Amino acid sequence: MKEEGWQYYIPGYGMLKGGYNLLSNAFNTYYSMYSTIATLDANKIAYWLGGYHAQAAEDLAIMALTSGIQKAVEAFTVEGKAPVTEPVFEAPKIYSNNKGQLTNGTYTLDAKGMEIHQTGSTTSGKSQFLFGVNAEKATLDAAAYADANNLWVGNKAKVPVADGIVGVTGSGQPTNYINVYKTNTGFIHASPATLPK
Amino acid sequence: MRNLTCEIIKSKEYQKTWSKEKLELFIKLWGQVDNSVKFDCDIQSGEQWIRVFKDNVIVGMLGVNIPMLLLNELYESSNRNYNFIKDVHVVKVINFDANSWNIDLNIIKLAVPEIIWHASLDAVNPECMSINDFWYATV
Repeated sequence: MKEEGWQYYIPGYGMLKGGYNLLSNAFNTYYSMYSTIATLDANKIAYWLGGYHAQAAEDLAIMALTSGIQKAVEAFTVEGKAPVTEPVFEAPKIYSNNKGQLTNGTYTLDAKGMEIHQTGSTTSGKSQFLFGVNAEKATLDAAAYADANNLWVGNKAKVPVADGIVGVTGSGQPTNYINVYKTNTGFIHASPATLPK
Repeated sequence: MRNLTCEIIKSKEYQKTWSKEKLELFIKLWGQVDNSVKFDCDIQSGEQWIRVFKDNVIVGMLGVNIPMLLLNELYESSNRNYNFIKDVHVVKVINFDANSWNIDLNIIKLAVPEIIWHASLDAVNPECMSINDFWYATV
């Protein structure tokens, strides 16, 4: 196995670079932290990291990143051994339009559409954003990310969030995915989503 | 302009026999009749509609809590055995993006509380909207 030169592109985060052991340790750290929510096999991770299954490695990287790998990577950064990150997605600036609606220039936030997912209760079956999460910014950023990564299926996109857990599903499961819904005129609202299958 | 209010109220006629089990069976049978269709619905996030895609184009929308199927007219007229489509109110739709529908929100709120409209009037105009707009406002 090579000790240097491994790199993996993580959508929404950037290019993760480093030696095999470094990345392997980072993923194993993730694995030990999140083994209860992900049925990952450490041997498979090592195998994927070997570059034999690039897609699987990328899938893993997405899952790992969005579930907490950032913490593992940051821990290695502190030790001066860090993988280097080169962000490739930059969310557009958010501002208020002349109607007082938040917009990123392409999409306009439909604040009323968000309310049903911000009541703090899942008794209606609707997933809920966590208090303290900037759901409005997350929604606008997610829509821009969906554009950049061709995630729209019809007028809906399921988008991973790099900052961690954003809410809970209707059954109370924590999630770091957002469903974004749009009209053809560019209005959007969103809901915390179930994890992709 | 077509009146969606009437169509939704008609669907209530099937409400007594509509159930989660029936919904699941419906989807299962549809997938068997046409294995090229894909279904999308995040029920755990609270979505109220199952979108049906064929070749990445939406051909249907089935209510989770109301027995109504908005079905693409061309898809419906294709030569297949759709005997499983029963016990739901079928509304034929020519174009899911066409702004050719209206809805009376006051009536819907009283008569069909299962449908929760949660879009602003800036986002969706209930007097002139598309079926995709309706989905956006009630998903």
